[in-house]
This record gives sequence, structure tokens and C-alpha cells, in this order.
Amino acid sequence: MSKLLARQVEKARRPDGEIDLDRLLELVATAYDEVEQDRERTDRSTALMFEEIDAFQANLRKEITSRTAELNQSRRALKLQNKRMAAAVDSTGYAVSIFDGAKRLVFCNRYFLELYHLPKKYGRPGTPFEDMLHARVAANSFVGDDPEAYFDARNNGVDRRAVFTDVQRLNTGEMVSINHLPLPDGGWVATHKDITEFSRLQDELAHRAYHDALTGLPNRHMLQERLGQCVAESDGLGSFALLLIDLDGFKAINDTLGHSAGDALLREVARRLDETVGDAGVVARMGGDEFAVVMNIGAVARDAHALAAALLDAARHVFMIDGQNCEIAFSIGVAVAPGDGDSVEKLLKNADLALYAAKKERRGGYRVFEPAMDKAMRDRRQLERDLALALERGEFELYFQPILSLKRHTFSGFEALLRWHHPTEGMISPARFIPVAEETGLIVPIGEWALREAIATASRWPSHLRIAINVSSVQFQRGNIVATIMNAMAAGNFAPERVEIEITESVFFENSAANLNALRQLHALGVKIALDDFGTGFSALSYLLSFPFDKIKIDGSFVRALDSAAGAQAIVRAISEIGHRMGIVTTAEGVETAAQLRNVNAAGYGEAQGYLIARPMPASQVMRMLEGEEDSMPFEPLQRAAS
Amino acid sequence: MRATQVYWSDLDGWADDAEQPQTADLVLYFASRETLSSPAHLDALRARFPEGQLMGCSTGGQMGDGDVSDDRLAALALGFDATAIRLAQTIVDDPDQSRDAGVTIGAQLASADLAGIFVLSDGIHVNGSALVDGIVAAVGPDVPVSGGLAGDGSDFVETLVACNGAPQSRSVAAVGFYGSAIRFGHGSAGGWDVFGPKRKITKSHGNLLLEVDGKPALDLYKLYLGPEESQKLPGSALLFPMRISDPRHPSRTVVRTVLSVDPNIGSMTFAGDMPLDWTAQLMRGSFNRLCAGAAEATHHAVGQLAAAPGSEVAAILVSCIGRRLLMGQRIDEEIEAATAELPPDCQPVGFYSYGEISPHDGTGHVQLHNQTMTVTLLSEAA
Repeated sequence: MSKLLARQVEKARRPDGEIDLDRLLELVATAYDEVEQDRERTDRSTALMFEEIDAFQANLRKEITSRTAELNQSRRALKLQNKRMAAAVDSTGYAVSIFDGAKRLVFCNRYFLELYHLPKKYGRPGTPFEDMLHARVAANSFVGDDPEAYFDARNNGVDRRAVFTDVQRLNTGEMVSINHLPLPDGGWVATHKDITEFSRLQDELAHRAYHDALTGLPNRHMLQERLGQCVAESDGLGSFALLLIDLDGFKAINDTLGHSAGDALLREVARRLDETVGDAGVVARMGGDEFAVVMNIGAVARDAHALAAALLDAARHVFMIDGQNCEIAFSIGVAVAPGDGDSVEKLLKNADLALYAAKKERRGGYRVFEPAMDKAMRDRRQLERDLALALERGEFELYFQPILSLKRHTFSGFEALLRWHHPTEGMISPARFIPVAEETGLIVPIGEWALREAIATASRWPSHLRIAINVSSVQFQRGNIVATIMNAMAAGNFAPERVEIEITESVFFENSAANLNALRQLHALGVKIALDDFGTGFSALSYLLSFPFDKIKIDGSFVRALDSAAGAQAIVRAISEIGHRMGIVTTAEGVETAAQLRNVNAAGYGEAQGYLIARPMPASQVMRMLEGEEDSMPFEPLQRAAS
Repeated sequence: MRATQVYWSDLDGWADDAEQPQTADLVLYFASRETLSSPAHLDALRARFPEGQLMGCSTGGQMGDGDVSDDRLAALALGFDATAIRLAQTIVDDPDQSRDAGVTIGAQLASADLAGIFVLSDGIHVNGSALVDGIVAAVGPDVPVSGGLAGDGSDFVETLVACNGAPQSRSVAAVGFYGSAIRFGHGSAGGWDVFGPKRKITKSHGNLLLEVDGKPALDLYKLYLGPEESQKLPGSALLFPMRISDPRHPSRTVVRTVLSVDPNIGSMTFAGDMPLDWTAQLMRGSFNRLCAGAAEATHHAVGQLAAAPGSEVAAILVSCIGRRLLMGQRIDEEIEAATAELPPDCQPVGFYSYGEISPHDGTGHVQLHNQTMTVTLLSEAA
């Protein structure tokens, strides 16, 4: 009997010892119920437990699916982000590498691999730094010829854990600039820039800064540095020389043959200079058509003379440019240190003064600096300053010299001549100040004043008298000469036919086309055009063909030579003959003696001017003379000459 | 020490028909709420043990004589040779005062020669864990404390505790044992097995559990109990105790049992704290495993007692009402299994409770247990 049943029997026993059957059955039935209930409870909880676990599992699966999707999304986003990062890094144009504290690659961009000629596999994160170095040795993209020394240097650089920048030339030829920045985790980030091209440009720029692009010669800047070196090295004791060279006739070639021919000529000049100087010094192009030579320390005055002579000689051989013969000459100014200057500035200035002197003197010569040049230059500068003030101070005055008509035996007009009353130096000769006025450009306002003044004066004269006015070629170039003359005529209500413009052949030297055009405009208005100082200078007869001059004025030097030089007679007659044949009036200037007057008259000249006839006189005197107050008979000398 | 087990019922009087007064220092007694509600039991006890101090409580069934009874009162009368005792009592008006009540009890009993405490407490209105904390805080961790929470069958309406007088609701009573002669043996074991998924306490307040895994806790229980047994809540919830643990110390597990439910808000009140974010897992029992648990607890207590040979041993069993609900008529087998581990002439007395108090078998820390069989053995050195 089971224990439970035994207990149930005991519980069902009545006090009299008998079994209460109903009670026993009730206990047994309850026990069955209890067991059944427990079984049901167990089944239920087990089933529920599995349900719960199933649901839990389903949830988990759902969660895993969703998380996996999220993870994949994140992974894709990260990949994109990484690509963007790499693109951003690439866009900087830098090669970038990042290593961790264990010296393993974290990241590098493709420029990095390209720069060091590394195979793609070395770009994989985790690549040891040592492997990278070995690969660079294999690719020869390392520095120096000793791989071990290179490894040591790179490892030391990294192990120092400091910021540094370095420029290296790889064995493959690239110049690389490296910026190294240690990171807190013991690693580092390095940016590498290929500066090969940059470095080449830098060298080129440096070369350009010191060299002339056209000729390849050192430029003014470098010449000055070289001069500075010589000054410093010689320390005021050693001798060396500076030669400044200017080309004569270059401008004409440049104008006629064009700039490319001009450039070719300059290159050839540079070559000859360099060849001639050789090891004796440094040749530089100062700009334009100006060159310079700094002779080495040890060169004395005698050496400078020899070199200058050799250079002049070098210019004598004809320059063949574009199949054409070009003739130029050098003007050279020489300054010898230390005597002619102990500083760069002084040497340059003095050589320049010498060059100025040389150019003034003659074509194709050289001058060595003399202290007097300095004085002359200072005087000239003073003259320039005074001249600039002279106009507003009213220091100019016009004198008028009568022009005698040899045909009608009357005055045909006057030539206006400029006079300058200097406040301290008194009267200054036009021969002295006109060239200065021309060089400085002051001739333009001065000439304009003279035109207005002359026409205004002449407008008070009888209408048969003409006024002859000298116009400089500079006025043609820099001023608007046509407008100036028209304005002056309009102001004086003066007939153009009474105006005679005297020009020299220099008008044809530069801008000849434009100048000719201006002449034609004036001529069309009725203004007479006279060619002055004919017979001196180049006096090319072609000028007479290029413009229909109204008058030729033979230079006074020929007239004066009639007394002494035998050939003068022939020239004077020949010019008269040309004028006669071309229908151009001829005027003889500088007639001072009766014999001369007779001579030019006999030669057939239409007009004569000179002291014999009348000296230049102030306007007031002209007026008195014209009004008969002045006892000045134009016919008397003529009569004397005739007798 | 002399121990006597006696049984009384209103109808039949003393089971042994004794009529002479008897000497005893302490009488511990257990009876149904119904029995305790009538003054007759107190008269009978006073008449039989006129000098004894009386301490008792209502139960979910009294153990004695190898059986479980709902009708008769079971008592253990103890006479000491070299041990002094002192009783203490306090009233708990609000469960939140449970810890304070424990401190009060502990303070009343505290003494340098306090050797151990046996405590009986109201089983519905007192937070057992807090009460134990209070007692331990007052007397120190080295004094062993055992006992239990009074029961009310499977009704969960009112529980009563008596201390030298009429039983009262919301009452806590305790007896302290003093001197060096007294010996204790304690044991506690469940025998319940966890099942189903591990859950998380997501809403709770003290011993009030509101949500598990974000869902009302009561729904979970109703689901597992099924419609029929759900009608018997909160008693039927004892069939599924809950094992909880701090996720930071997953091996330190505690078993919690339900005291009451509030169907309106879906909350459940447990016999101890249900801390937020702790891990919770349902448990269920099987007859054999529960019986094995009872045997294991007793075996542990016997091993701990180390009683002198020949000295008398008294055994008080406090077992959880949930065990009785599950095992039904076969609950006798639990008592049988426990008794088999005791010395040959030791007859245990005890009751089915709403919570058990005993030092932890492993750590020795006194704590409230649920769903366990706890064993308190008493003896005096010769």
C-alpha cells in the first residue's frame, strides 16, 4: 500500500477503529484531483514557457534581422564616408599616410602609393611601416644609396615623436616635402607633397629674377649684386671696372625692321659681348639697348681701355639680321674702381656719365670717367631746372632776323630766333639750351610759346612779310604741332601763307611717317615748309624727294667756307642748281661778307640771311625799322656787293 | 532543556487529556486565525502553562505529530536549565515602518549575552525583508535570527501574532535566548526549480511589483495560472514563486512569494523587496524536489547544531504555504522527509507561513526566505 493511501486510511478511521469509507473515498478522489491539477499546471506552464520562448526567439530573430540591416546600412554609410574622406584627402593634392602606435598603416591615399611607386597591396590597413620602407627601397623611391642608413633615419624621425618638416629628393627624382605630426596613440600622420615642379619653377623664377629673358644674360639686378660683391671684396683697395654699353642706331633698326629683328639683334649683340669679354668679367643686359660689363677684381684702367676697344671692334663686323645688314655701333662709358667710385651707385652713375659723354661725342666711341663730366652734368642739371622755370618767369624773348629777297631786293620776311635772358648768367646761347630743352621735352611748351609770340608779332607787320619759325623734331613727336600752329595763326588772325616752318632732317629720323603726315597737313593749309641747315648731317637727297619743300636753307658753314675752301663754291652752286631744278626757293644763311653775298647771288640763291644784311633784333626794333625810324637799309649791302 | 509537543482544540481540549498544570519557561504555539480569534485557546494555555511565557501566531496549517492540521492548535513548551529568555513585541501600522519595527524589537532584546532570536510577525502588513534588516541592524550580524511570517490559510485576509496575551493584527513578537548554554541549528531550502525566460523588473516600488519586461506583472501570473486558478489569487500565485537576483551579482539569488494582488492596477505585493532592473524568473515545484528540499534544510540544521550526545533537541519547522498548496494531501511527505533527518526522539512542531526567516545556509546572513522549508533546532549544552 502506498504511503499516501496508508495515511488516508488512518485519516478515515473512526474513533471506534472502523474505516469511514465515504471519508476515505473523498480523500482518494481529492488526491486524484490534486495530481491531475498538478499535471495540468505543469503541462500548462511548460507549454506557455515554450510559447514564451518561441515568441522571445521570434523577437530575437526580428531584432537580429533589423540590427543586421542597420549594421549593413551603417557599413555602407561608413564605406561611403571612407570614400568621401579619401576623396577629401585626395582633393588636397597631398599624399597622406597615417600609422598607429604599433607602426602599422591605418590609412594612406592613392597619391601616397603613386608618389613612392608602391604596389597597391601596401595601401592595405595594417601594413607594417618596415614593410613599407623595404618596398620603397625595392622601388628605389628612397633617399640616398644606403638602405640601412635610410631605415635608421626614417625610424629615428618617427621615434622622436616630434613635429617636423623635411624636404627630400627621392632616388626616382621627385622632390618631396614631408610634414610629420605625431598622434596621441603613439602613431603619426604624415603629409607628403610632390614639389618637383614647384621646386623647378622656383629655380626658374630665381633664374628669371637675375637673368634677362631675351638674351639669357644676367640682368640689372644681378649686375648690381655682382658690383656689390666686387665692392665688398675689393674693400676699396682692389681695382675693377664697370663698362656701360649703349647701342647707337638700334632704335632705327627696331623701327624699320620690326621688334623681332630688334630682338634678334640684341641676342647677337649679347653673344658678341659675352664672347669678347670671356672670363674677364660678367656681361649683363641692363634693359632696352643698354648692356654692362663688370670686369673682375684685378682689372686696372689699362685693361678696361683694352676691353672697351675690343668691344667697339666687335661691333664693327656687320650684323646680319633676317638676311639684312644692320650697322650699329657701341658707345661705352667706363668707370674704374676704386678711383671712379667706391660704391655701386657711384660706379653706375660715373660710368653713365662717361657713357653720356661718349654718346655726345661721336658714334662708336668710349670714354673713361673724368671728374669734369660730373661737373658738366651738375651744370646741365642746373640748366634743366632753370629752363623749366624760364617760361613762367618770362625769361624768353624772340629776336627777328630779316631775310633778304635777292630777286626783289626787299625783305621778304623775318626768322624768329629764341633768346634766353638768364637771371644770373645773362644771355644763354640757343646752341646751349635748345638741346637741353629738346632732351627734357621742355621744347614743346617753349616752342609753342615761340610760335604764338612770333605770329602775334608778325601780325602787326605789313602783310607781304612772312615769319619763319624753327620747329624741333621733338615738337613733332611729343606735341600736336599742327593744332599748335593753327591755334597760333587763328589767335593772330594770320594767313597761313605768311608762315614758314623751318625743320631739320631729324624730323625724318623717327616717326617719319607721322611727321610727314603733319607736314602735309600744314602744307595743305598753305603753310610754307623749309628744310633748314641743309648740307650738314646726313643731308640725304632722298629727303628732298619725300616731301615737296618750299625752301631749302643751305647751312651757313658752306657760305662762310666760300672764302677759304675751294670745294665750297661747288657745293653752294650745286644746291642752288638742285633748288632751281626742283622749283624750290634756296636761302643762303650766315652771309657775313660782301664777297659771300656776291657769291650766293651769283650762284642763283633766292634769299640771303646773315650779319651782313642784319643781325637778329628785338621785335620793337623790327617795328621801328619797318616804320622807317631805324636806319637800316637792306639795299646798301646788296649794292656794296654788286659794286 | 525539556521540550514538550502538545495539541489542543476547542472541541476536544488537550489531545493528551492532561489536566494538571505543567512547568515551562516558553510556549510557542500555532493555530488557525479562527482558533486564535476565540479567547478559549488562551485560557487553555494559561491553565496548562501558568508560568510560561506565551508567543504564537496564526498559520496556513499547523505541523505536528507527523501531520498537518488546520483545526488543532500545536504548541511547543520549552523548559531551560541554563538559558534566560526575554520577549519583545511591537505594532507595525504601516509596511513602510517594517524596518523601524525590526530595530525596535532588536533594541528591546539586545544584550551582550544574546545568543539568538526567534521571531513571529504579521504576514500581510509587514515587509519581512525590512523587518529582518532592522533586527540585524540592532543586534548585529552575529546573532542568529529565525522565525516566520504568520499565515491566514490561503485567504490572505488577516494574520495574528500573540505575545503573552490576545493575538493581534499588525503585530511582531520575538523571543531572545541568553547565555552560553543554548545551541542553535538552522537550515533553509526550497527545492523549487526556475523555468521559462529570464525577465527584468521594469517597474516596482519596495515590495510592490508593477511591471515585468514592460508588461503588468499580474498578467504574467494570470497567464501561467490559467483562468481557473486565477480565481484563487493571490493564494494560487504561491504555486509560481519568483527568483530574483541583482544582475551585477547573478549568483546571489533570492526567492520571493506573493502576499497580495491589486487587480485594478495589475500590481502584486511580494513578501520582500522587488528592486528595479533586477532579473526575475518564475519557479515551479515538484513533489519530490520539495520533499528533498525539506530534508536538505533539516540535514543542514542538524549538522550545524552539534548537540551534546543525549541532550534533548527541539525542532521548529516553518514552511511556506505555497508548498502546501502545491502538494495538497501529499504535504505530509515533506514533514516526513524533514522528520527523518532529525534525532530519533525529536518530534517537530511548526506551521505553514507567509514567509520564512533564517540565516542563509551558505553565507549565514539572516534574511527573509520565501517558498522554503526552514528548520530551527534548539538544545542546551549539558
